[in-house]
Amino acid sequence: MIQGYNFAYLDEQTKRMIRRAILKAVAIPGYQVPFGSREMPLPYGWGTGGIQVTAAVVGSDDTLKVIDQGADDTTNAVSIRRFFAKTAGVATTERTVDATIIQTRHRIPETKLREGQIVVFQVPIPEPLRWLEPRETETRRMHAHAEYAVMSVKLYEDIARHGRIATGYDYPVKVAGRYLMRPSPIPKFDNPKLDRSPALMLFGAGREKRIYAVPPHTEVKSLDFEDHPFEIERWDKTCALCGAADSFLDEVIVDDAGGRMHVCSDTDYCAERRRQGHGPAAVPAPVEDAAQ
Amino acid sequence: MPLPEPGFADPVAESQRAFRALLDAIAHPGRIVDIPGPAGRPEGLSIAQSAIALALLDGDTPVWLAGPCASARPWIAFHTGAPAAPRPDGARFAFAEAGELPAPGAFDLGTDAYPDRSTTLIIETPGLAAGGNALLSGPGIAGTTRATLPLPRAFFAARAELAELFPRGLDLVLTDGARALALPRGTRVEGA
Amino acid sequence: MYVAVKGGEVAIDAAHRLLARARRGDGTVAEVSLAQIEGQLSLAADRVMGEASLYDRTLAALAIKQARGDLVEAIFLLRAYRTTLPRLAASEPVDTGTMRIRRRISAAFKDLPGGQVLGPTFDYTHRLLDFALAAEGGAPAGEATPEAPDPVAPCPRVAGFLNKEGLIEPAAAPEPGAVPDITRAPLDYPADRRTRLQALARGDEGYLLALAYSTQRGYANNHPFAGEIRTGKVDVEIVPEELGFPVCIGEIDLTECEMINQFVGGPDRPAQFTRGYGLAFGEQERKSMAMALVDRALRADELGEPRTAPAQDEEFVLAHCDNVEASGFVQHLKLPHYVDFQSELDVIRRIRAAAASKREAAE
Repeated sequence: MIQGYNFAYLDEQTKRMIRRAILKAVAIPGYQVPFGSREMPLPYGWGTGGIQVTAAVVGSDDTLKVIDQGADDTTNAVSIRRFFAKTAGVATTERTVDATIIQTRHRIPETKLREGQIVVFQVPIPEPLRWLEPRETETRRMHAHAEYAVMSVKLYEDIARHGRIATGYDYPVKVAGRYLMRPSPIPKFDNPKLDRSPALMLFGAGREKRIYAVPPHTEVKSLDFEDHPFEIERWDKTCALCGAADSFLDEVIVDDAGGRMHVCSDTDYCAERRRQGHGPAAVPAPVEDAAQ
Repeated sequence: MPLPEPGFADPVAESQRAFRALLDAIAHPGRIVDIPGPAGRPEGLSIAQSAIALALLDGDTPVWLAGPCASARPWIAFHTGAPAAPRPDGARFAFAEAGELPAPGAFDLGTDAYPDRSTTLIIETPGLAAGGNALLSGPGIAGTTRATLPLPRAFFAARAELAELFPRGLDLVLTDGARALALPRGTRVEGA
Repeated sequence: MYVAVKGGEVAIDAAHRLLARARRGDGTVAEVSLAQIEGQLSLAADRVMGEASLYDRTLAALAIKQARGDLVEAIFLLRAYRTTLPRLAASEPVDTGTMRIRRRISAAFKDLPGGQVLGPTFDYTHRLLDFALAAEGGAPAGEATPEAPDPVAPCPRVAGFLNKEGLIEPAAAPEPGAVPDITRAPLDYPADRRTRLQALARGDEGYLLALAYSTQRGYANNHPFAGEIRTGKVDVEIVPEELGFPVCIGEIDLTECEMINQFVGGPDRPAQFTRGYGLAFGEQERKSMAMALVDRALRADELGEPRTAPAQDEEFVLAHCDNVEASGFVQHLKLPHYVDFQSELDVIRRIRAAAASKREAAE
């Protein structure tokens, strides 16, 4: 562990402030609690909100997983995982099932989350109404009165113009029937995983200085209309490595002619399936963790 | 004047553990969690109450100590620096005992724009138990759950009246010795 | 067979090594020292100290060196360090009226008590590259200690003595209550003026300069005069709790600008001059002038002026003035976004497919 800094980098007073904000966030599902976000040694926009939430939550007996785009070994995920290994000496893992805290950018793992796990989302823009109303003073008033008609109008205009809702990620949701919330830029494919999840979901926006939460077993409804129900991305392909037909697939260009293949965005899910003998790239036993 | 009883021996680790237990409780209303406290606890507060105070209070959190909890004032001032709130509705945190309960409406319920700026009330409630007459539902609970909440019926009636003010509201933590259970503002309680 | 890109850890380590090498540059050329940066690139250090909100010249020099001269990166480094420092005390308000002045000018008056003091300014230099500086050792040696030769006696501020005629609004009375600290609590709108000034003081110089410039070009014109600009040293005092009276803990360099702006009056106010205020660490004349213009523009509501221009829009100005926030968020676009891109691809393909089948049906 690095010397000269407190456990998990933040000083205790800062942790107390963030912890108080987290508790209020859980007590008021979907409401964005303003907090005194600190300047972290990583840039704003690169996960400072998630890092502060994780730093306030993490203990020496936790096991931390960090993903970006579903992958454990993307550079920013590596950098954040190292930050906590260095400042908190905490155990890290790439396996979703072994993690007690999962910090993520842009994905929710495919593996079913369980009771007791905490997912920490990195949030760039927490305000769901921001593109429709840039002023904080206005959006705060709209949340106070649950005035969300403007969002329905926007989605309906999409349908009128394009025949469907043209939002692919960061798709707005309503939490516990009250607050409109941005789920962070996860693909809408992941939205159903938020609904009544047994895990606790915490959202941290460092630059915008907001923390919000979805408690376990809480209704999270993706906005839609009776005649245009919410739908998620679909592929007519399966993962070229593990054969999964139920996971979010990245489209990878493999040659100059524009040839492409589809692979799981969740690298742990894909590796686990291959360890179990699935797909064209199944790993023959004995199993060795490909991530090591 | 004698020195106040000691606080956490390892403030960093013990604060984290107390916070996590409380987070678990608030994320799962009705669930009983263990909140281990400091070695020496002050007169007026239970073990869990002392641990919550040490973990969450500081100079930025005015605190209200109701009834017999007031004896813990010097201990709280010494260990946390939390100022005494002049009135219950000026407090971020309030500590009380089941025997001498202030009305829920006496506290800061926050505003519609800032519902987080509300009091968290921590009540020592002997006899707290999982299972029992009280039927709880709401966010954090899969369906419903049951608990024994030995507080006056009138208190829950007054709390229920606050429900229509949501998102304004009062977040409750009930403690019994080193155990705690949370009733955030969104939890419906029937039959208590 | 495609294998998902692995080796993030290795790549990061390699990038760090390359960065260290690039920072050092040509190994046959002497390494730049912190003392050289402090002494010879002092205006860079001033800007870094100001926008990092940390008055430490040596650490600013270190940050500049570490950042390879990228000042926004240096500001970020110093701020991240600042966050970890304990807060021992809040100082008393500094009194710029007692400033030991190195430079002091007023554009509104030909002469004034205390006089005009040009000091070390670029103002009247002809901007011709000085090739004598290019020759090693060709620069004229400064004094051993680069102090003003004749410290000017403390002199009254221009706005202060204009005030006696009532032609200029009095300095704002201190607002009650503890001064908010935007590095500890999130900014809330509408912000009071002291909070606003705090945000502007650590705001990006280039951003404030552009906004200030826009007010001079008709976007919220407020007829400014540089009432006074002064640079020099002031004492910093704190009141230790156990003493109960102020003690001086050191001195800092500051640049202060008071703009005086025409104001034709309104229903409740007589016609008089109003003020905009700028203050910055070290010698940051351009920054403090820009800050004063933007401060004045942001007082539109208070003075009953119509809000029509970007510089008058508090949320717009304050939400975007911080270059560490702005730099981080703009540059985060370098991070992978391929999952979101995939979602957008899906949406666009479906819209196109639907449109195509509609066309076919119509044909």
